[in-house]
Amino acid sequence: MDARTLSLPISTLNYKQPTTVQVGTPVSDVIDIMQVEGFGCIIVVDSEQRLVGILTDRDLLVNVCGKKLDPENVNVEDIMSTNPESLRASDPIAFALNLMHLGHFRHVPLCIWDDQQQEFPIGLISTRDILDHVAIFIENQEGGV
Amino acid sequence: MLYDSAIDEELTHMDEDAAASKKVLEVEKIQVPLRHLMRSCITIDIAASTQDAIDLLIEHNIGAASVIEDGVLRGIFGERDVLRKILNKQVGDLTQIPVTQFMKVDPQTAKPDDMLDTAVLYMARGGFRHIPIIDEHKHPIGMVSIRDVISYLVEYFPQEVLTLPPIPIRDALKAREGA
Repeated sequence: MDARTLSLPISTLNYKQPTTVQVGTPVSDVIDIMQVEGFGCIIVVDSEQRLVGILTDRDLLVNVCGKKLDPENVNVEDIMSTNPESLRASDPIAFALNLMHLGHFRHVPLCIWDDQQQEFPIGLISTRDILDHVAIFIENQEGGV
Repeated sequence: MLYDSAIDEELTHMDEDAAASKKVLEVEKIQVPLRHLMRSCITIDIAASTQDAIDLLIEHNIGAASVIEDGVLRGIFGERDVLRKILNKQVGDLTQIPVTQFMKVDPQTAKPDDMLDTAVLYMARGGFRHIPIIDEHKHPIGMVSIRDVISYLVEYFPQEVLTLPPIPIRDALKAREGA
């Protein structure tokens, strides 16, 4: 693993397809989806599939367990983080590391932009994807590859 | 496309910069002792309620806490346990349910003299976010998380990561607004 690796596009990592919910979805439904899919994060879009927010298990902890909000009576947009930082799959890995480190983000949406600069999510890169990349490097080194 | 050529141009510049730096993360560099990376350990007593544990996670802004009995690590409880085992589950009054009901018992641990590469492999193979660091008496003395691994990479490649512009200069023709 070298500096050149960090200039490779994020698309070289095994980033995930995004699981999305629309604005207006009750938090209880979002929890169901996250539990079934095993995701700690979900992307929130509007009716046009544009990125509007991101919701993590941390948001659920703080708002549902901490503030005692009823997940059946609260919608996802009430507790999500709005206008999250996003990147393109073609952006270098270094930018994902930069955002994750400085912004303390565990997940960063990957988007495409249309002519009006509207963002449409196409993926999700997480700190775990970076970790797995490092782990493969370590295993290859230890295996003498 | 003009857009694609702008990306290619930026990647070319980054390649040139990277080639100029020639910096390589050698496996020996990942063999830094965890004692140099671990964060302070937040603990909660095994007799505590689940609500107390949740409040601790929120108060200290941490993803997981070590559950101890007489100072000895017995489990780990984190935000992922909350999502998987508590939310939408009608589990009852969390102030009356001990944290032991939802914690992960006997979690994967590491020693302070274990190396970072060991922790990385534990996290990758086991799907763990956090690895408690314990002493010879199984007393938790620290915690290492995936975030610490990210921080280590950033500190190892500061020129490549920390000197980046806040937004990729991927398209000079269409400046994005800051998000």
